[in-house]
Amino acid sequence: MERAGADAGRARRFRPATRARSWWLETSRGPSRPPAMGVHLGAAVPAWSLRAVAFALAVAAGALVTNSGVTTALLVLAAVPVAVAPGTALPVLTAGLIGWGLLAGDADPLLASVVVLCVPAFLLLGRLTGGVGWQARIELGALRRAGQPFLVFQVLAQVMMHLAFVLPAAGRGSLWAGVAALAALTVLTGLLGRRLRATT
Amino acid sequence: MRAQPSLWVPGGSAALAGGLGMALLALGLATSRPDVAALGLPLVLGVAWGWVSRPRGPVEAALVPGGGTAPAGAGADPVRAALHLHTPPGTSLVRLRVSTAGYQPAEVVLDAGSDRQVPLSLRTARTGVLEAFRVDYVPVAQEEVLAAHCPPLGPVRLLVRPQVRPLRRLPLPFRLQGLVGPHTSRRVGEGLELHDIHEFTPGDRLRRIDWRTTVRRSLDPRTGELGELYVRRTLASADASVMLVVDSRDEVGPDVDTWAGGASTRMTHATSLDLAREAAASIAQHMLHRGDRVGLDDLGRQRRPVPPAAGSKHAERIIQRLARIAPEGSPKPRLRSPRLPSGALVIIFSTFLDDEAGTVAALWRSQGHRVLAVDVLPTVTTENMDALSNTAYQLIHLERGLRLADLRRQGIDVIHWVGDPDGHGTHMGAQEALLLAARPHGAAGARGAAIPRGGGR
Repeated sequence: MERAGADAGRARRFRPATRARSWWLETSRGPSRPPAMGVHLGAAVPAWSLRAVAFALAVAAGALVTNSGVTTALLVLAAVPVAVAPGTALPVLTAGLIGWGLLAGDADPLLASVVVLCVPAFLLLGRLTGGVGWQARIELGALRRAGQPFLVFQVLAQVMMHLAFVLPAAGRGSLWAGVAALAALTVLTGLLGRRLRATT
Repeated sequence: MRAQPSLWVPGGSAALAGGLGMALLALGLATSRPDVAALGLPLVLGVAWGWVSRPRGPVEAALVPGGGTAPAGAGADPVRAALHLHTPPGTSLVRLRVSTAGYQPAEVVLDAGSDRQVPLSLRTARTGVLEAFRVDYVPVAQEEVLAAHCPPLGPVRLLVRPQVRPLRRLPLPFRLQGLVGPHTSRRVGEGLELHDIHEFTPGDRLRRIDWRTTVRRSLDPRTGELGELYVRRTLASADASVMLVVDSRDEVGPDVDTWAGGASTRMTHATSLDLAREAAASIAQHMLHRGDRVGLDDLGRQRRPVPPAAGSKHAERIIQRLARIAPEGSPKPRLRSPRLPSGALVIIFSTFLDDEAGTVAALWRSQGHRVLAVDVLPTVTTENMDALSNTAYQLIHLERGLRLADLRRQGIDVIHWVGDPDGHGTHMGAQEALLLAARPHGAAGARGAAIPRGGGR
């Protein structure tokens, strides 16, 4: 009996080599990935690549509107949610910060062209990749469908901006015309919002 | 499977983007900065465009099982279904998430400009009823002004049929029955194979008279009269009754670490029940194609068995029942063994991890049935186990070995479907083991085995 008890005691003794070996076996193998299913689409790109592009666009726009290292670093930091959490309100906040940076700096048509291109583009990519994970696949058809109105509005915005830069100032009358247009747009947006709520 | 009508609700990010655009426009105008105003303009126009072209109808979606009855296997066709999407004009894209237990969920963003049909597929080594392809989807309008809340679709129940392996030859029962069939029995009766030449007795058919033998043996040359008449007696033809008994009380995978239930077996690994289905379907197909009668019973469920019958429709019935066999909780132990047709060949498919299947097999053997025990344990792996679990498994392993040896000792042929799953098997495949068991004087059950005609298939 004593002999058996001694054997059992030896068996229970702490054995670092054995523990280390079992720990290594468990950690080195890791949980095996389950198999994948097939969802057969047309040509598609992975969501992570679009997120990376969106991040790059946000960083580029942020870098263009800032002129000090600290603010650039802050805007790069603010661009991280564009890649990490594109489906949230954070990318819109990033766009707002870039807009504020643009307003704070001097007006430069070339720089503004790039910023006006980059900001709606990363917001568009954020909308596309927002509700799905990094591994998701985005059909090129979906990208094309979302890209068509984007291109039209880009052309319109760029043309208007360059016209505004090129044309001479028309005095106070044009300012009041702009304010009136803005007021009309505000009223229109409010009406649309009410209709939206009423419909849904 | 069709979804309920969808409900369109405003998208949060569109409102935020529109608000930011308006703010930038206002700031740009107020500060006479066309660049700032131009930054806000596409955002405002986008939201306005999204609202103008918003979808006004419901989204209709249906999940249709298609080709989901493919046989399993590594190189086999996958299990399929198709998602049909009908989106109203104005829908820009659909976010889709397809999930199935045991698989990585798949997420895609689809172009939803027109009606779409999205094929879904997966590969599995499992057979039987498989619940697959739960689809969560969110249709989105232009610029995400609206998004539809749709109830999820699925999962659909797909029946994955067991793979049928071609077999060359199978053992026959000790006694064949019936008056017609593909086999030659040892009785004298209607058949093709000659038994002997015998004197005519009352009851013999006149067309059986062998006139040459009669003339040679009983013609009196002096008188020219015939004496006794002689008839050719043949061996009667007969068919075999085969009862397949599947032990569905447990379903274990190759990884012993999953046997306790803590983890699940990978969908690409066949479990013991998948192997049992495959083995039973292969044997049933072979026997029915040969013209024998095959029945099916489930050791784990006390329900009416499929009675022995023949024909191609019966083959389909057997395979359908096999595909639906699944373990159900903790079944009560049977007080009586399942009733069998007399003289039937009994083939029991089990892992023999407990005594019940072996006990029933031994009982049938003692009743005079020829019994084949098909071991359907998959090739086990013990890599992921700790020392205590490994010790427990070693005990189970030893008990299983004793159980299988006991079966052999009682004259029951043991066939390992995967060869050598855990060291108790042989290096022969199932095909070779069945051939060995089918020999007239081979294996354990050779005593008085019927003579297969034409060497079997």
